Amino acid sequence: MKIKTFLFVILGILIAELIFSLNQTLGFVIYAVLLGVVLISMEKDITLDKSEMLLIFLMIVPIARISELFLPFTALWKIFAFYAVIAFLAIYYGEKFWIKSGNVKFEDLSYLVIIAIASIFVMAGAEYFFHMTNSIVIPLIFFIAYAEEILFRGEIQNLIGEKYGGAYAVFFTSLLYGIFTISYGFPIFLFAFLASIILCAIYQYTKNIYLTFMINVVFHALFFTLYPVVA
Amino acid sequence: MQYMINLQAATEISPIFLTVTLIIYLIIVELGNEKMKKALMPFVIILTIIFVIFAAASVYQTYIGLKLILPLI
Repeated sequence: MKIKTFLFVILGILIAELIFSLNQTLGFVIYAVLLGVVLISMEKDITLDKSEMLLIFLMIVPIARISELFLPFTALWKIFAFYAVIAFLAIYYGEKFWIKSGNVKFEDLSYLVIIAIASIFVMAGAEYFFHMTNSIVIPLIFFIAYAEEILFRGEIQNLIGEKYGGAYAVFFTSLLYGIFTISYGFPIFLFAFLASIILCAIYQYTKNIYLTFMINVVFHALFFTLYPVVA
Repeated sequence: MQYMINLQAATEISPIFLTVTLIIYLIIVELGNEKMKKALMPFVIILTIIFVIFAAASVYQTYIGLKLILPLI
């Protein structure tokens, strides 16, 4: 895949996100068309190469956006379902395409179990020591960080890095991460972009998904404190 | 107490859009080659699950509505 095609897909996602924040129906149609075009464009060869895998990973968040629209759930459950879709697709494709981050096989489900147990302990601690009312958000933060790390750092950044080099990988992964939050407003886009630059740079140098996962949890805790959207 | 499923929480987009998208993707899966099937199948699974959840919730809502109306008739 040429860099031009890659930039074109990113531009398409940006336009779809911007329109999505103005008119949901139109945004949905653009996303659905973009998905169809990307998938049909892959029909040349028999095997999937790295750039086609990257295209599929880029389409994971749009499909989660589309499915989130039709879920008749309340806000908290909607966020959970959105990230459950992302985690499912990221784990599925990660297993299918044999993508590994550094020396850690992070799609291993035992990782998810450890995270679940850790989040329950933190939640219990928050309930007991600080008498927190909305402590259900805490496991959600862990789950969001998990889904985002395996998709953005573990898969998209790895594939862009293999294809175009480390500096491009850090920039484009952060840009994509920012674009997917642009419907919440420009300050949040900037926050996500800068946070992701830090996370991606750390991942690029250490290749340790656990480290970036913990930093992502801290960023999300900070974000939910500054913008208590869920509460 | 906040319930998990609430039909008012769904957006105003008509479910017809979802149905049409699902049908188009199913056609692409059916007509495409092996690679296409591999790439698109998880997306179709996700959309089908969402479709089933939406359908079940709206059928339940209709049932509750009927239960409230029928004694009055």
